[in-house]
Amino acid sequence: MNRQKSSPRFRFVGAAALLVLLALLAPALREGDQRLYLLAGGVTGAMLLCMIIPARLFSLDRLILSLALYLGAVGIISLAPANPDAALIQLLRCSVGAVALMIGAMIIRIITPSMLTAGISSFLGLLLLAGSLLVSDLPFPFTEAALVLLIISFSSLLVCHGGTAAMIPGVIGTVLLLLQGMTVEAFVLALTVLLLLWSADGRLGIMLAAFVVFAGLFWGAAQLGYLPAFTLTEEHSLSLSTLVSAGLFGSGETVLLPETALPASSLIYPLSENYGLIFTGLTLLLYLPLMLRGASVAGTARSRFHAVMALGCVLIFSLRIPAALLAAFSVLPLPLTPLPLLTDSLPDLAVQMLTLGLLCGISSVNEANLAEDAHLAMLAK
Amino acid sequence: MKLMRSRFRMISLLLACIFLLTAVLCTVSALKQAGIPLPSAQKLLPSSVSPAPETSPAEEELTPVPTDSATDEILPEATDIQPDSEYNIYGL
Repeated sequence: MNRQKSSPRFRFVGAAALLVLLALLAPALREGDQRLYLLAGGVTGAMLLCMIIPARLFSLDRLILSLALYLGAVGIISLAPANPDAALIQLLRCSVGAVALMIGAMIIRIITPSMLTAGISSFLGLLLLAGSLLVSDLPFPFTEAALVLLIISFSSLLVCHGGTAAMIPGVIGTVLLLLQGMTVEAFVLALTVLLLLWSADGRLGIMLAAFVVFAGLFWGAAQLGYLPAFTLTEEHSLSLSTLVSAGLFGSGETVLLPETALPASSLIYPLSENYGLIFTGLTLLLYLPLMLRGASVAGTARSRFHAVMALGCVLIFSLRIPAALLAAFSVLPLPLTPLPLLTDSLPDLAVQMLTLGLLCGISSVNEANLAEDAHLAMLAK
Repeated sequence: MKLMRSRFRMISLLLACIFLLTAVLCTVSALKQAGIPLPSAQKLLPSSVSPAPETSPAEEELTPVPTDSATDEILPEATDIQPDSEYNIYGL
């Protein structure tokens, strides 16, 4: 029975690994570059290895794991034809991300809802945001890590002390993000807190208070000039023309994009340039099953703490996708940001993989609970 | 807990709707940029589908005109137009 259940997922992994292998072998055969052959073997082997050993060892959710690995591999293959060295470095980043995913799956078994968890996570999250505000030229962005820490803090406080206390770190985090001019991130955090309050607390008074506070924050930021001017710029039109210029099936030649055409280190541009709009669109559609699977994990969690944390992780991960896509395709005048997992920023990639690892861990806890239930039911008979 | 799960399902549905709407908007934007007029998509529909209403003069004015960038993409070599070197990042 277990074999029948997991078989389609294994087929997906096989198909994804084959696709990655072909996508890397095609430029390798064309260019005759040894590094591309190395990448083809290394990426495919690493994907299959991750799906076999750690997935079985930690009972990870295979759909989330395989989609995360595939999207990470897409980041590598987007760089491979034009710059094999950059693709090798991206492979190293993805390896670090895979380790972060395993760590996320493990630490979910350690974290329990308590005042200590809430205090440590909210302190660290707010410290990272305040540090980014005070030290403007930090070598690495820490916003993603801070958001995940604030979600852990929110979940813990919601379970231990209710909605009012849980709201406080979210409000302070939103203020710090607005002060840095990170409007999209601030909006994502505010919307996540509001949706989590509505779903897990549900009291109208708390909801209204939270809505008024967040609306007041954004209004105040607009009045004080912390919100950027929302107008389509040259960068947006350059982004759209770069995405569309290679046509539906790619340019057929290795394209080395200039630095100006790569806003915010996003890998969607080289992907579209080298493989075309159809492949890019089909790849981007894979975010949908990833989001829905994450929401399904949240819905089946037995403990309230795990449920709220899982949905918070899904919301923080998912709400940025429409914002990034609408900006990249020049639909809305939002700041250009890289898509989750399709970035060459190591801290962002590692934290996004860690977030998916938390979801995998919650999924494995759910499965363990279901297995225990089945065992108890069998004993009762 | 039951109410929370039903609200979780609503949130996941909301996320899916937002994502699909984003996909449609991005596709439309990409088609426009590529110079493919959207009314031409009606040709793909079967003939049994009722035809589109006649366009008024005001609507005709709104018909997208192929831009210079689209012309460059369709006829990269057969024209005498010299692309601006600042944007000629693909060597066309």
